[in-house]
Amino acid sequence: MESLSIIFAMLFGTMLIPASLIGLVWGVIGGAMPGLSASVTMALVLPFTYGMDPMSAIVLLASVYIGAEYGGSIPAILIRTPGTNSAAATVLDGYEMKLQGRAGEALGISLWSGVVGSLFGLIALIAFTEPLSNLALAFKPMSYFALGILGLSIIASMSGDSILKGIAAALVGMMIATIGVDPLSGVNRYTFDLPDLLGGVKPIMVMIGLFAVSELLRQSGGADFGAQARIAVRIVFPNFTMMKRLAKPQGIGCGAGLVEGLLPGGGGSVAAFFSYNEAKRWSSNPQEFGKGSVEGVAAPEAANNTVASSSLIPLLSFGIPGSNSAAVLLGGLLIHGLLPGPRLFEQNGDVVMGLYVGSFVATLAQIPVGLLILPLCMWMVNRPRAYLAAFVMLLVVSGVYSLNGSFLDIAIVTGFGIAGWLMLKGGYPFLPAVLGVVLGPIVESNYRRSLLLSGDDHSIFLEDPIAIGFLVTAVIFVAFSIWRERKDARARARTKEA
Amino acid sequence: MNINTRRDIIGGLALSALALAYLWGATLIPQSTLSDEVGARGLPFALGALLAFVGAAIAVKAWLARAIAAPDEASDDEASFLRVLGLIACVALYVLAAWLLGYLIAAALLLLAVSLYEGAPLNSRTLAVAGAGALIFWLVFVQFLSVEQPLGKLLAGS
Amino acid sequence: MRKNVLRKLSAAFAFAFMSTLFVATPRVRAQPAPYPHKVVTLVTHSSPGGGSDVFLREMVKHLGKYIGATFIVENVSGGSGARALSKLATSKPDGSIFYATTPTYIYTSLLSKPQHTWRDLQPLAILFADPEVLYTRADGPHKSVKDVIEHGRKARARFGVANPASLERQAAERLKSVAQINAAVVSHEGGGDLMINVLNGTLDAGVGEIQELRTQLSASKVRLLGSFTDKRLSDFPDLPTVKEQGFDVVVHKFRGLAGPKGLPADVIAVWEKALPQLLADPEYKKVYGSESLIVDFRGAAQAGALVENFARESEAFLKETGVIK
Repeated sequence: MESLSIIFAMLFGTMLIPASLIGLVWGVIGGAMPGLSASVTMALVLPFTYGMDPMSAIVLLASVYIGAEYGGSIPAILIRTPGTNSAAATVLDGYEMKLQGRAGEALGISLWSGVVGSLFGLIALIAFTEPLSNLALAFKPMSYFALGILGLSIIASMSGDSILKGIAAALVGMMIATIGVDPLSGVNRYTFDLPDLLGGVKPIMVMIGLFAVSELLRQSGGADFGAQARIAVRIVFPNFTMMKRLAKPQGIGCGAGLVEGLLPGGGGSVAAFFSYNEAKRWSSNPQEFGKGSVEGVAAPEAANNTVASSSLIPLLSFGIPGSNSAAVLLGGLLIHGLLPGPRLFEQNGDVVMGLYVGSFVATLAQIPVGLLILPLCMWMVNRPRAYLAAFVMLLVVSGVYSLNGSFLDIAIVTGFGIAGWLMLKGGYPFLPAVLGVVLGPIVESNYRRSLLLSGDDHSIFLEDPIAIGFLVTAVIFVAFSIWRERKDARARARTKEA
Repeated sequence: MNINTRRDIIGGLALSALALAYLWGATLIPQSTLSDEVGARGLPFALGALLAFVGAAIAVKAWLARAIAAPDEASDDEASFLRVLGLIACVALYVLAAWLLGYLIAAALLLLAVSLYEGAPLNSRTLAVAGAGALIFWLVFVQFLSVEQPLGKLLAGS
Repeated sequence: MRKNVLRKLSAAFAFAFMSTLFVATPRVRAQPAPYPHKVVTLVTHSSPGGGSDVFLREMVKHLGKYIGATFIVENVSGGSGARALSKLATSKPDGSIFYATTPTYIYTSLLSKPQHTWRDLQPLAILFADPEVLYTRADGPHKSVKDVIEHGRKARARFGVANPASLERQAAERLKSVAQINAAVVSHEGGGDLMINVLNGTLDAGVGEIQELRTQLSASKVRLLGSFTDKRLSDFPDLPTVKEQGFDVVVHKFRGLAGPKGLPADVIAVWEKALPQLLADPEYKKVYGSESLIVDFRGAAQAGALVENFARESEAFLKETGVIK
């Protein structure tokens, strides 16, 4: 009873509710802007928090994070532009649903899945911080390498018609990821002495170029200036039957998001893609994926919203941020003189408690805020096609410039747009390329790190049980995909003969 | 030869060519004694070699299957490539304008150029949309989110 | 109707933000030295919440008491500091803009060939040294630098650093060569990654700044083995330096300020007078004391010499190891 009264005092006696609401709205807006990742959106608000009391500041930042992870899905669904890295998987079926005139349904599902994901992550954060942080400690470079391989094995089942083309796309993606400073020796690779390339090409640039710009190029020149998307402006929130159907993909998303949030260096995009693929594998309607599947929207959205809370687990328990956004939150804690770690719970228990309660408020507030913002967004995409194209283009160049303040980045993203358009013409799938960009560095640096540790002895991978588990799973995945493809091909051949 | 076959042969060869260029780039990566056993060049060499092989395989596979490939579909590739270039030119115009005149003016120009290019009539409505749109973007990005956007060399003075 | 609601809401949010802004503005009571500019911009290459950003923002809170100007912190991130360098190098050297220096700006100048390098900037002062230490997990077998080195003679020692070409890397590589052991120096994607590998025993020891270890130190998760400093740290009087333990490796991670080349003498004079006062300010002392920063004040001339010397050493190291030609 006493803790209940403390919670009430917090809710109504402090700035907690306004902080979480302002944070949520700011986060949704920032997350919806392509280029402004969740971490950048948080960093933008950070200076404002310097003058606040510690609890409001932390609640504000955590709420921005929750909002941004949700907000990224809005442009992903409506204009094929992932607002954040982790919303790229949402593009696949979300935009497809929009093309079918089901944008309202897709937005409703992503909103509901976002709430489910945040809620799950929050419960994990409150109840299981300690055991889960021990899990985070168990990950060694060998485990990360195997995790990356497991992620890449998805390519086998996501390459569409031609596995060769899928592999080619993945290789090009990994090549793009080699640009920048080498993670182990520090020498420059493919930077052409341009300082802007030292930090490498960010995955979000590849995603915006491949998905958004190529779509603009593809649609260009239609004589249908006045054509409007004519999607219903009403948000269709899932009903009970739909919620039951979404439970499985959401569960997969929550699990994947929980694990990725624990590991530093992730940020939700791997979990999003991984859960998308797994949701497809375990679905009773796998043929719908890529053609407007509701489950294909639910899984990645649940995953990236879970990360927004689960990445706080290693941060709070030993000061190690589980994502870039959690790192900004760490900055916020430090500025207020709060050191994360076990002693934070003892010395500043009120701040931790406030963080929990504030995150809870923000999680639930996603629904009213979403229902308020979404009709406006849908009104905007219902404008004549020519104007919409112009606004999407401006949104892309503005967002990309804000990444580094570099015109070179605009040129690079436009280049990826042309490349994406050519890939579309040539029948090359985008997904492997995106996975290559995201996973290539994880695989390479941890492979080399492992061998450096062992002195060039590959048996080190067999000493790590996590690595063995992932690698075996990857082999099974690939074998299963090839087997299914053969079976499908034979079935197709048979129907043709008949 | 049908269009899909030609597309895959050209595409595959282009990928192989890209791979060779990438491999050449890999030989330029400096070698450091701080490096590990695999080295900074390890992955680039592997990726380049693999892509050269996969690209060639795509081309060969298409060539071998040329007889049974699906018949030509009508295509207007070249015309739409020109269209694409036009849209890219709009982006180039934006970059130039942003660099010289700053974000607000460049944003209005980009909105106007793309709208017109995509078939909107040049009337007061289109002009108003471009102007108001640019203003809203400027308000949201520069004023509300306080994100960095180009200032413009001529106007900012520095 | 709905649009009206939205407008009102956004107005309310804007108001809420504005009011917090005003609360945040510190009030200044003491008599500050006159300064030729009303507004001074302090540029950092780190993004909000990053190391140099926090450093500057805390300094700015107290700086207004000693110099009669308003200080604004500007984050110019990107290009590992190259963009900040360019911004400074192309600004007027009139004392209205400065840059928060760390070894990063030297490293970036050396590693990539940016348009502008550290040579285009004029060091104004050095304020602090960030002590670098060798540390291990608290429940691990190593109790001193010697233990780790002994282990390295028998087996393959595993050292970790946060970033590939950095001062920490330089310290680890030099320790390895001074001790003449065969060891792996594994670089990571930042400090969090490194810390996990130290804590789970994948690495024997890591090199990092005390500041980054505060959380783990307060939770007694890590043990310090030695500091790469000339003298013992005042916060950790029982911690012997690496040099004391028989391995002559000392690195100097500085924190200071630099401006565009050609700063006027009167501007330099104001700062050289104000900065020691700032460092003696009891309130500011509390802030930097809790972060284990060592006061290491040097004026413009000495700072220039120190930076020059640092750049020469680092360049030699990077060339020797083949990272740059």
